[in-house]
Amino acid sequence: MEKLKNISLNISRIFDIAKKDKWVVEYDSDLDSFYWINPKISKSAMLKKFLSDFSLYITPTGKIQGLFIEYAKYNFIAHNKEYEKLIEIMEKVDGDKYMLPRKKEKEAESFLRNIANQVGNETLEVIERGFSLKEVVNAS
Amino acid sequence: MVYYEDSFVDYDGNKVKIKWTKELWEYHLNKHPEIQNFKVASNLISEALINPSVVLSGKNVGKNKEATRCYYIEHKRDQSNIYFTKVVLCCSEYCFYVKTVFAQWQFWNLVLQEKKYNNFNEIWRSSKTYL
Repeated sequence: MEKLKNISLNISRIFDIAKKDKWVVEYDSDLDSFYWINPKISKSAMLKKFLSDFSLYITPTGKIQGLFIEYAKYNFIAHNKEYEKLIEIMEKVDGDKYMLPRKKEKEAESFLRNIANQVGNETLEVIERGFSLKEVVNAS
Repeated sequence: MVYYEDSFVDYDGNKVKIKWTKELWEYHLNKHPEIQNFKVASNLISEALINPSVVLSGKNVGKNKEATRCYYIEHKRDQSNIYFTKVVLCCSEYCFYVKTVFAQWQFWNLVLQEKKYNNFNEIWRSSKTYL
């Protein structure tokens, strides 16, 4: 069996990574998809899902490049009403597409920090239940 | 102006089309780089439509609440994850249209998103899939 590499994921630093890499926040109301992502996702990045509602964009070296939520408004936010305002402050840019404008970034910061914390806490729960993230990080 | 256009027939004989503008193609390519180019994207879509592992039908829970189908095809799996492509269609009386396509690794113990809703029903399942 192929030996799995030890790749550090930095889940606990998602918010800082997002700030440093200037991630953008987008919502597609047609697909009900929410993205908080690096504006240029690497070609090698893959969507990996080990949490109930969040998928993460992860490169083969373990770099996190974004977060994706399917059925965001009508499932995730419906069950996490504290994030309702985040969708409300986004602005329509084209058809069904919404973006967080620069002028609202400060207002959105606490919501995004909470999402990052939620990802961290849920990841910890997954590990506490005995699952290893090593396979998902190495999966290619 | 249509930039990426193709047509398919699914496992059940339904006609499926994709008609994306350049902006829409670039929007999807940036979020799902695995679609790479028209040929790869069409192959991913075609595989999922012709030989799906699971198909779910229902009403989109999003803004438009239109009839929707989600086709999943399992490509491979390891000890704890499954790698699949998902194709989402909106369905009219005359034709189905591709709304998105992407690939993803997922933990085995997680349910497919649509299974969280009462408004989706599984209409096809391959006996070989772990999805």
